[in-house]
Amino acid sequence: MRIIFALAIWAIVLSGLFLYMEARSNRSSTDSAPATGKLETAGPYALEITILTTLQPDPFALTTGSGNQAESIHVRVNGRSVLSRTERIEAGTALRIEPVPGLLSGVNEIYLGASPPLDEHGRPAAIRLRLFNGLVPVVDETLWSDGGSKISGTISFSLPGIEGLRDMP
Amino acid sequence: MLLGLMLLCADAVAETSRKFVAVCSTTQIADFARQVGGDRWEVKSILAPGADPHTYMPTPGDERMVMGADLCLQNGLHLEGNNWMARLVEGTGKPLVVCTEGVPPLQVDYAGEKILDPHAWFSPMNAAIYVNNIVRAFSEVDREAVANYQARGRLYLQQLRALDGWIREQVSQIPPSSRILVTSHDAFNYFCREYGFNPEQGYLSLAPVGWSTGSEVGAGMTPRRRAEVINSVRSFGARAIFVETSVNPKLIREIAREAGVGVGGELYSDSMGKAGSAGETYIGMMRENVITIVTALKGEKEQ
Repeated sequence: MRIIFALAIWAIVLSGLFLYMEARSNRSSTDSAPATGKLETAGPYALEITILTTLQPDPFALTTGSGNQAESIHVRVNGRSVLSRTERIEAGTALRIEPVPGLLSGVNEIYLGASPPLDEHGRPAAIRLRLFNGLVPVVDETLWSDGGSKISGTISFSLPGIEGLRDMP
Repeated sequence: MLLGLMLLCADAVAETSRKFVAVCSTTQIADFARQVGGDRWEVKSILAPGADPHTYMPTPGDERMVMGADLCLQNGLHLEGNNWMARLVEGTGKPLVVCTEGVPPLQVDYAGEKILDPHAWFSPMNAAIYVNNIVRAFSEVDREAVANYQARGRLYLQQLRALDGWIREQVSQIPPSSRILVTSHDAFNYFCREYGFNPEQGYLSLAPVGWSTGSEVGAGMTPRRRAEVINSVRSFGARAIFVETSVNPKLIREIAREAGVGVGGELYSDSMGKAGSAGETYIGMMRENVITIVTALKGEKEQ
């Protein structure tokens, strides 16, 4: 009788532990899902990227693994990749993304990484980003690097909701 | 029952905490592997700091090390003289990764023979290829942690890029006419080409001993090579020549005396420095080499 009672206790303890671990595992996978509380914003947005320096595929890129390649430029909007190029890009080139996927009403973030030539040390390198709503620039930032090192930066900004758009000129 | 449960738990903990073992031929590859592997890998190097990969002869202890490995890594391009690493691994069933796979090798002429220079790590861009190969190899062995290896790989690759930029900035302090690099053996071809040394030699090393300190074809020292180096040092006006940590300095010091130049310092070449030294990592080794070279060749030798 005592043995059966001890086994029952063990079974309850182990079951409880198993359920706890399962719940914890489910919670962590839920936590890692991106927050989607904000609505994607409507509006004729366009992202214009003006390359003020020559870019080349990054010879120090991670190229192993699926999806990894030596990029000359990479742009993400709110974590979503919107531009990836692997060819050489000459200074003065303007790249345009229209419409811009992934923009949200509220706080947004654009990440840009780009690779100037290695032998241009000592010469500053820059890329200008402008986000247009129609013809109106709502974001205008320039990212810099010392020549040779990667141009890399994050721009945070807010966009109005649908009502705010109606009010804009 | 309690004892059985405890034994099961202990086994499970031991399994999850067991590290993978990587056995590398050289100290440089071992450093790259540590940067990528983190705490999931125990990385061992067969060569000790200061050892010569061209002439090394494996020991029974090395065989035991390989038997305990999950993965073996070598430089390739015949850096490991007489293929000693491949021979150690042969027949063990252990995977052997050649870290120079994908490196565009420098082909150099020695006594009519075309040799692929194995010292590829002296260009940080080539070191980036080594790192990519190691990320891929670790990912194939340990699929659970692929994202971790890629994350560490990305960070280290950007450190290599920063190193490259720093080297270019440092070397720019040396007048182009003074960028003459003379070393004990031809380990610095990739470095010379990348950073513009020895233009009169086609941006290749200038050394009395060829690409290997061993007896392979095109290696070793001949009286003709020795005379060529002495004449070059005199005619091109090299400000200093350099000894290497893993090569006997006697020869280069003799050449320095005959050519009438000073010894600019000691460079890490085939091996990194011992633990605790400034050159115990790849980036440290390159940093210290560049500081030594720049200080000597721009005319401000440290006392």
